[in-house]
Order: sequence, then C-alpha cells, then structure tokens
Amino acid sequence: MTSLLLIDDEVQYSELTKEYLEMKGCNVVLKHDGQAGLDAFKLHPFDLCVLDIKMPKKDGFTLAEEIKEINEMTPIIFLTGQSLKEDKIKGLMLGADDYLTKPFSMEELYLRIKAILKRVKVQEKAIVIDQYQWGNSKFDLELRELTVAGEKIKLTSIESKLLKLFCEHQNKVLTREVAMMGIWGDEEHYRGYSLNVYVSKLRKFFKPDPSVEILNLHGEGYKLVSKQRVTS
Amino acid sequence: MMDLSFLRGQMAGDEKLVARFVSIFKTQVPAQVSQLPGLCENEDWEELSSAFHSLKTQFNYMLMTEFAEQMREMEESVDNGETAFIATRIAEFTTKFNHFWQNEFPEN
Repeated sequence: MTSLLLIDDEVQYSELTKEYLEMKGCNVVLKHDGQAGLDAFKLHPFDLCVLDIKMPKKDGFTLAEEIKEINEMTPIIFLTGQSLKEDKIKGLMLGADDYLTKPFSMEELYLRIKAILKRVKVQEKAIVIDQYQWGNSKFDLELRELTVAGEKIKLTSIESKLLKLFCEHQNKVLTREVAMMGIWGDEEHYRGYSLNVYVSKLRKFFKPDPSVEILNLHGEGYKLVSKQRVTS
Repeated sequence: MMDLSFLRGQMAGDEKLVARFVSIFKTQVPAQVSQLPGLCENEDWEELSSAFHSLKTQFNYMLMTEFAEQMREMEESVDNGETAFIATRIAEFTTKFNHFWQNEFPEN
C-alpha cells in the first residue's frame, strides 16, 4: 500500500483530500503544519510527500529541504495557492517532483502521485545496485561485506541473501514467504526457525547503528526501516 | 445560487465530498471573513495573509472569482508590506460579502 504524508494547514478541507486518497487505496498521514510534518517524517518512512507551501511554523519549501536532507529519494509534490512563477521554479529546483495549483482536482492529484511512483520504481529498477548505504552502515553485495559504524563484518551467503532482500524491500514489508523463497527457493515450514535466527543475527550486526532497524510485523513478516537511505 | 460545477469536477464527481466541502465552506468562510478586521486592527499581518490565502482558494472552488481576486490582491499587498489602505479594502469587501451571503443564505 502506498504510504503518503500529506501536510496542509487547511484543517477541514485536507481531511477530504485524505479521505479521497484513502478511498484510492493509499495510506495517508495528515499533518497541519510544517514542523508536525517533519516530526512525522522522522518517525515513519513514506513513499511520497504532498506539501502545501504556505503553512504556519515551517513553510513547504523549508520542509522540502529538510525532508531531502533526511531522505533525498522521497518524491515531493507541492500544493500551491500561489500562481507566481518564481514559486514554482523555486520548488522544482529543490527537487520537488511535481506541483499542483489550488484549487486542484483530487483525481489529478492521485494520478500524479501514481505517475511519480511508477517513474521512481522504473528508475530504481534501472539502476544495478550492488551497494547499499544507510546512516552509519554500508552493505557491499559483491564482497558480501557489511560495514557498521566503521566495523567490517563478513557475511555468509544466507546472511547476504537475506540482507539483499531487506534492501530490496526497504521500508516495506518483507513477508516470511518471500524471504524463504528468496533464500532457499522454498517455503517449507521448518525454514521459519532458520529465518528467525538469521534475522536476529542481522539485528545484532546493526546494533551499533540506531538509524537502521529490523521490525517484526506480527503475522506478516519483517520490515527494514532506515531513516537515511542512500543507494548506489 | 452557488455554482458547484467546478467543485464537482475537482472532487471527481463524488457527491458526498461535494456536500461536505459545501458544508465546511458555509461554516468556515463567514467566520474567517468576520475575523479580517480584527487581524488588521491588531496588525497581525501573517495571520491576515493566511486568512486571505485560505479564502482565495475557497472562493475559487466555488467559482466566486471576483471575491477570489480581491483576496489575491489583498494577500499580495500584505505580503509586500503595503498595508496603508488594507483596512478600507477589508471594510468594503466585508460589506459586499455580507450582502451577498445574506442573499444567498437568508436562513443564516
């Protein structure tokens, strides 16, 4: 499910936008000022952010800069009531992926979100990734080497396969079935115990780096959450 | 009568969303308009600009383009620090708006 962070100070109207996007199957977190939006972004990973520009406490441009500092990969759409050309240019210069001028069409907003996420997916696939980097951690797939807070750890084949799967599903759910299929090519019941052991090992490796966390999602699987993703 | 044709398009034809939007509009707009003179008197330019900004968008949704344009002009003036005549302009706008609103929604 697409997770969106919507930040708009129009308290009541933005509820309508949230509801519409939720009807379309998105998971939407709504905040009404820039600072609250930034706090939410620091706590959870989002696939895309929709930001109003004129907001109390922190305007949309400042917020976009701060979001990009945390995760430069996060796509951003600006909502602007201002039709001034310089505003639009400034926004796009900051790495906003698109903008909509108020009053905007709900359907258009949804279609643009979909288009951007599709584009991002294609771009991610096009890049051959053999190195992943987070806050204080780096994973070299080819060397099967994980570096956490400066310390190098040589991974086994299975640890390396599992971490690669986590990287490919970063900030998304990695189901137990997908993990088992990806590592062993089957999902026999007894593999479940082994999977738990390997997940625990990876957690232990990442312990010195608080920006990376592997969460247990009861009945679903796991999620590797990183607040600072850089892939290359 | 309010023209809801544009709003319907923006709400993807969802009548429930349209009805909720209108309901918010009918409550929020008169309240915001009534706050304009006070904000101006207190020289709270930031809040005043935000109020114009918000009203501008709401009027646009309802195709009330003349009101929307007045909001845009006053917002721009306040943002540029041109506040000398803003109280007069607010007073003129408020009179016009109240007259319109009473005709449109006599039950309120």
